[in-house]
Formats: sequence, structure tokens, C-alpha cells
Amino acid sequence: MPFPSQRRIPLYLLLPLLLIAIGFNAACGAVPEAGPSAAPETVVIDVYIESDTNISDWWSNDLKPDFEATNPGYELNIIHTGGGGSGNGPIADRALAALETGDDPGADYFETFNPLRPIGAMEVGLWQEITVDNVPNLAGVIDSAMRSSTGFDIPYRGSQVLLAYNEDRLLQVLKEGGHIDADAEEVPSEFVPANWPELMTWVCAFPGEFIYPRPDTTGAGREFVTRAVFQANGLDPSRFSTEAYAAAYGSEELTADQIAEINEIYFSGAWDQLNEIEPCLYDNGTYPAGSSAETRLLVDDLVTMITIWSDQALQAKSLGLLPPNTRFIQLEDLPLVGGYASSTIPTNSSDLEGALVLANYLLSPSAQESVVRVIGGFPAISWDLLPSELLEDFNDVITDTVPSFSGSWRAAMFDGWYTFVAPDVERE
Amino acid sequence: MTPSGPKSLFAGQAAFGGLSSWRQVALGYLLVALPLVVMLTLIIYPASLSVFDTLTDQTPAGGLRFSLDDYRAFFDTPLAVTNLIFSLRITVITVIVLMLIGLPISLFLRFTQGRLSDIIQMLSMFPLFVPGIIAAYALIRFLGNHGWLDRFLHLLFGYEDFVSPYLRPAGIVVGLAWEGISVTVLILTAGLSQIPDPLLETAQDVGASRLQIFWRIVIPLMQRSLLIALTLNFLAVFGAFTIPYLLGPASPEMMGVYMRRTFYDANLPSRAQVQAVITFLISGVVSLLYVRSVVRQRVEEGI
Repeated sequence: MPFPSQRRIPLYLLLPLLLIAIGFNAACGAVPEAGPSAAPETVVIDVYIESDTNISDWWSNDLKPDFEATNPGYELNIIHTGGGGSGNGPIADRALAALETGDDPGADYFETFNPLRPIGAMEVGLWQEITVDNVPNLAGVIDSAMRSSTGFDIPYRGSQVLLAYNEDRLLQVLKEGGHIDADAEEVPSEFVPANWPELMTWVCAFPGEFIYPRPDTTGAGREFVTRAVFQANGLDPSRFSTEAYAAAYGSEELTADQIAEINEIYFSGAWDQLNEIEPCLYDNGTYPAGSSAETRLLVDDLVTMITIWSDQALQAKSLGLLPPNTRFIQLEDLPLVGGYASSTIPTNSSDLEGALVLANYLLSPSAQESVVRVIGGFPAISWDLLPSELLEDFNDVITDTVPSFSGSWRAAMFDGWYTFVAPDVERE
Repeated sequence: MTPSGPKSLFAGQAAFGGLSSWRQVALGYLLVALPLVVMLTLIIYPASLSVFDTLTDQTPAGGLRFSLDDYRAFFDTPLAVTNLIFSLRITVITVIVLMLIGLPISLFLRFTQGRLSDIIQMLSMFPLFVPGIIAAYALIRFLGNHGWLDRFLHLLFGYEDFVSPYLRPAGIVVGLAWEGISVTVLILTAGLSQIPDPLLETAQDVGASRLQIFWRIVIPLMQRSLLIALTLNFLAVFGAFTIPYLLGPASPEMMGVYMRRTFYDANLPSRAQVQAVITFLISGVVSLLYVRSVVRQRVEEGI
């Protein structure tokens, strides 16, 4: 019996493998756009985006060219830190460290970031205070957008989470359950939830047909959980303002006692509701990670209803990615919270002035129109400042009531959900 | 390296031969200095700061005192303990699965030649080139309900009771095993290739059966590479993030996922620090096994 001791992979076999691998890596494409070797007078503004790819695409394809055309001398360098990356957190940590040592943070603009993070950043003045003096267009921002702002961020685009359901599948489910005649062609309206209590009833009336994702992995999960919190607090979003949080808990890291207290006072009712519907959820409480994993369940005909961002829903539908008869609904008693995405600017930015020009641009009517047209979001400035034809085109989705839930409450909410809702699912 | 060795063809090497021994020692330290400095400043210094942080407490007077409160809090949190035990369990299972897959493949590759083994070798190296996140999404499509596997089973065998491992603990094991095959096979084949053919042929000549050759010669001679494969896999799996995050259940979580969530999403950095130190200690014990084995080999070989 021969014992060949040396083995070699023939080169001709290895080559295609290598090409495939390179292709995969290129397709993965987390490579930041290279900073241009610009003419000396061009100021490059480094913009960090941790939102989903529809937002980073919008920045690269629409906002960047428009901003650079209307503001000569400035150039945007878009860096996407989301979608499998670690988000803007580490970049903010670096900016804070750079502030202490007096170095260049390498970041000028955070597309979305909560200025209460990193802990202690606010106290040492990492974030630029935003006023009408340095960002004149802030004057046009509506109250509901300003409500969640700390004064150190720029709320510039609103969105809401919707419920999306596959009408064909719902029809099938209703027929199989004997709720409607076998030859019915439309879903009677009483089988489509219109408010929160109806949704809760619906979920358990059709077990396995509804799912929401983990709250910390995408807004579609976060806002659903937030809505449950509002329900448990008398539908009063004002309880969850930035000021209320700061007054009760300051800006230090929460202690174990404080965490227990927040859950007890504010969240326990929500945890009860969510635990109650848990056995009725898809696959006995399969909480997917991220919006694409959740949307797949609707697309692959595994569930009837999911939560979804309004902007992603409009985009996915126009690309034909959703089942053909997908319908969107919003709860009528209190919409699923959307809220406004807020940008922050580090004070130690090497191009602070340019970053403020960018902030002002984002609140201009032309950028705000792009928010509505391109990403299906809501403007942060009053509709009066926008072209009237826009109002006509988007009449169906317009709402002034995007209730907001201050970012400062979120951390405790995420932690509470993982402590009180997620663990009791048996998933062996 | 022996300076008195035969004169090399290369001029550079010949120059080494002329160095006095203290200069050679100095050069040796100089060469390790750079990686050592990087390790000290970027890993060991910040890591020890963290460890120090978790072991101390502010006194009311503003001073520092030694305290194990943070660790007590960790072990008093049921979720934290559940996650730690879960991580250890998943790690042990995955490492065993990797051995069960990796060992037969490496043996096959060592003792056969031809087109088939070339292809198998290539396939076993393939995961090395695929980024974790791509692999995770591919596995979701493959293993998920209504995924390819589900449909194949249904079409070919009419099997309907498919339970997808996706978003279950088994999903993590499958994903991490897929990721770890390449390294396991690489290490084990390297170990196997060091077993000289004459040894095996001799054993065969004196009438040893294949099983005897395997148990009495192959396994004892590849003990070290088995140990290395075990420890490296343990470290990779125990600290994994992407696969457990995307393929695992929402709860319990692996330590990597739990730490990240505690740090960023729950905004509780000091708790994340304690979790990290505990994870680090466990990994440290295992890496000690690895380091000891490598050092012992060096000593035995007289390097």
C-alpha cells in the first residue's frame, strides 16, 4: 500500500477557487470610498453612516452629488459602518479619545448617532451644540422632530414602522381556518388589525403568522417594542422624553438598582404583553436578527405579517422584492413609533465649518424633498416649506404624528427585552 | 540557527556567521521587540487596565479599593450565567463536531491520491476564503425553513417534518463548524504529513492491521496537532460573533454577542468589561495549553 506523503493542490484547481473567493469579497464590498486626491482648496467631509444600505445608497447617489454641486469646495467621503459592521459606536469612541489627546478624530459627521453616547462624551463637550446661529435652517424644523433632540444633534429625516402583510397568504389562512367562504376573493376588513389591541388579538388568532425582529438589530423590531411600551404607559409618549430620562437617571451608566427600577416602573407592562403573544409568534418566538432576515420570512411565504420600516417597504416594493399583494397598514390609535434620525457633529472635527454647512444643507427644502421622494421618509421641516406638488404626490403617507421615543430610553429597553422577554423561549 | 553551520550560498546568511554571540542575542531581542511593543501597548496594557477596573471600586472618600462586586454581580445575574454556560456548551459541541469531520477528511487526504482527494482538499479549504457574514446569509438560505435543504428533502423524499437549525443553538454549531473545517483540516494534515511513510510500511510489513496502525502509530504521533486543532478551534468558536449573531437564537446568547449587546445596545460598558474579562480568562486557560504544547515541541526539537 503506497503512502503518498506529499500532497499538493494542482494550481489549475486552485485558481478558480481563488477567483470565486475574490469575487465574494468584492461583492461583500465593505470598502470605504477612497478619499479623493483632491485639489488643495477642496475640503473633504468624512460622513459615517451606520443606517441600512438604502440610506447609504441614497447618500452616495443623491445627496453627495447634489451637495457637492450646490456647495463648491466641499467633498463628501461616505463611509458605511452598518450592515454587519460595528456601527458608528467605535468611531465615536475614537473621536472621544482624540478629543482627550487633541488629535484629529478622522470623522466630521455622523449620519445618525445618539449624542448621549459614549458615556461622558456630552460632559467633555464632544458634540457640537446646534442652534439657529450655526445651522440657520434649524428654524424650519417642526416641533415633533425637535422634541426628541438634545440640542446637540440635527434631526433631519423621519420614518415610521409599518405592518406589512401578504394579502394572498392571509386569504389562504382565513379560508383554511373556515373564517371566510372558500370562494372569497378579498380579505374582510375585520381580519386586518387597525389598532394595538386588535393586533394583539390577531397575532394569537392566527398563531405562527406574525413576527417581529430583535429590537436592537433593526428599527422594525425596536419600534414594535417601543409601541408596546407606550401601550403599557397610557399611550403617552411624553413620558419618554430626553429631559425625563436625564432628570431621573442622569447620563452615567445605570446601576443594577436603576435598571430594575426602570423595568418595574416603565417597562413591566410591555414585557407582560410581549410575553403573552410570544407563544403565538412564528416558530414559537423565532426573533430574527436584522431587517433582511425578517423580511425573508415574509418573502419566503413563512409568515403573513411583519413589521417593516416605511422607507424600506416602499423601496422593496418598488423593486419587486416583496410578495405581489403586500399591503401596508399603520395602527390608528397610536402609530408604531418612527421618530427622527439625528446627525451629530464632533466638536473636534477638522472641518467643523464644512460639517455645519452639510447639516444646514440637509435641512434645506431640496434635501428634505429628497427624503420624501427617494427614501420614502418624512421631512423634518414643515410641509409648508416644501413644494406643494410633493404634498399631493405623497398624501397617503403623510402624518404629523410621528410619536418620538427619546434615544436615551432605548438602552434600558433593549436590556429589559433581552432579560424579560427573550429568555423564556425554549428553542432546542 | 547555528552560526557555525556550513557556509550558505546566500551572502546575507554568511554575514550572520560572523556575528559574535552577544550581538546575535541583541539582534534576537531587537527582532522580537517590535511585536512585543505592539502587544504591550495595544493589547496587554489596555487589557490590564480593564482587568484592574473590574477589580476595583470607588470608596466614598474618592479612593480605590479592591472589590469583587462586579464579578459577584455577573454571577448573580441569571441571564449572564445562562449565556456563559451556553457559550461553553456550544463551544464544546462545535469542537467535537469539527474533530469528527476534520479527522476523517485529513486521514483520507493523507492516504489517498487522485482527482477525488484533490477536489475534497479544495472544498475543505473553501470556507477559508468566504467572509463569515456571506457564509451566514448563505446558510440562512440553505438551512432556513423553506430553504434549499427543506425543499430538497421534500422533493426527493417527501420529508415534511424538517426542523430548521436556523435561529436555534444548532444553527450556531452548523455555521461555526462550516467555518472551522479549513483550519482543522490544515492543522491535522500538517500533523499527519510528519508521520514518515517507512514507519507505516514497517508496521504493515510485520502484520499490523490498518486499525492497529491508526491507534498505535498515527494517533500517538499526531497528538500534538490534535491538541493544537482543539485549542485553536476552542478559541475561535468561544469568541465568535457573526455566526452566532445571525444564525443563533435571541436567547441564550454566545459571549461575543452578549458582550457587544451589553456594550453598545444596553450601553453598560462596565458590565461588558466584566463579561470580557471572564471570557478572556477562559480563553487564556485554553491558550496556555496551546502555548505549552508549542514550547514543549521547540524544546524537544532543540530549537
